[in-house]
Amino acid sequence: MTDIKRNDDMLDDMFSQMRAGTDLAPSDDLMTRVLADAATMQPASAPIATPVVPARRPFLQSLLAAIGGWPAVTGLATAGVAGVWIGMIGGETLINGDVTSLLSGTETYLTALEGGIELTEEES
Amino acid sequence: MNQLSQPQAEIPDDALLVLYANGDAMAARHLSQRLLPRLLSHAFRMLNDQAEAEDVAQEAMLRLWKIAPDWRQGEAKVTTWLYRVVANLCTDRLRRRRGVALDAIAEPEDGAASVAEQMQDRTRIDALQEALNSLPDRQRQAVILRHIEGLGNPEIAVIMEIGVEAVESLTARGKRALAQILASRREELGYSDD
Repeated sequence: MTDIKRNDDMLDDMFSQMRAGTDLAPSDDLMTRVLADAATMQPASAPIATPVVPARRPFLQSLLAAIGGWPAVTGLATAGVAGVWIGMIGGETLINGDVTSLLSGTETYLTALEGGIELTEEES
Repeated sequence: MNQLSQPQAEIPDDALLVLYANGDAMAARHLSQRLLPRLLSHAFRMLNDQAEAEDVAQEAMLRLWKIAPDWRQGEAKVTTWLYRVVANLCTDRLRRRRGVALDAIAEPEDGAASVAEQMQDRTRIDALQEALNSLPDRQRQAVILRHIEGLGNPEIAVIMEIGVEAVESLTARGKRALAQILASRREELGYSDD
C-alpha cells in the first residue's frame, strides 16, 4: 500500500470519527440567549377576528322583512279591501250554483234565468 | 429540555420559520433545538474556541429571526442559509485574529477542551481539529462542509458563494494538506503501517 493511499485511508477514518461524534450540545445559557433574541424579534401575531353575530330581531320585524317590507303590506291591504268591496257590491250578479250545474240540463238552465220572464207551455 | 415530539420533528425547517413569523410561541424553541447544535459544532470546528463559536451561533440565529417575516418558503434551505451566515461570521473573526499573537489562539481554551471531551476518540479528533486549524480559512471551511458536515459540492458552492469546481479544488488541496500534516503522527494516532 502506498503512503498516499495509507494517509488517505487514515484521513477518511478520522473524518468519519469526527462526523460520528455528536454535535456540541448548546449550554443552557446559550439556549436562553437565543430564545430571548427570538422572543424580542418575533413579530406580534395578528389578533384573531371575532365573527360579528347579527342581533336577533323581534318576530313581527322578521315577518315584515320576510314578506318584503311595508310596500308589500300596503299591497296586501289594498288587495284585502278590494276583496271585501267586490264581495259586497258584486253579490247579486253572481250566478247561483256552480258552472257544471248550468251545463247539466235544460231544466236547471231555465230555472237559473232571472228577470221575471214567464215561460208557459202553450196548449196545442 | 424538551425534545421535539415526532409530529413536530417532521415539520420542515422553513415551515417552522413561517410559524415563528406568524407568532407561534413554540416554533423558535423547536428550531433552536434542531439547528443550534449543528451551527455551534460547525463554528467550533472553524474557530476552535467555544466562546466565539457560541457568539457566532447566537448571531446566526438572530439573523434568522430577523429574516423570518420575509422568508420565502421553498426557495432556499434554512440550513444552507445558516451555514453561509456562520461561514461569513467565522471568516470575519478569523481575519480579526490575524492581528493577534499566534500563541493566543494556538491552544484551545479550557472551555474548548471540555467541549472536545464530548466527542468520540478524543485523541484522533483533537489531532484532526488541530490539523484543520492550520489550513487556510477557505480550505478549512470547504473540507469541514464536505467531509465533516457531509454536504454536497453544489450546496457548499452556494454557501461559499463560489463555483462547484472551486469547491472541488479547495477540498482536494485541503485534504492533501491534512494528509501531509497528519502523516507524521500515524503511529501516535494508532494507525499501523500494514
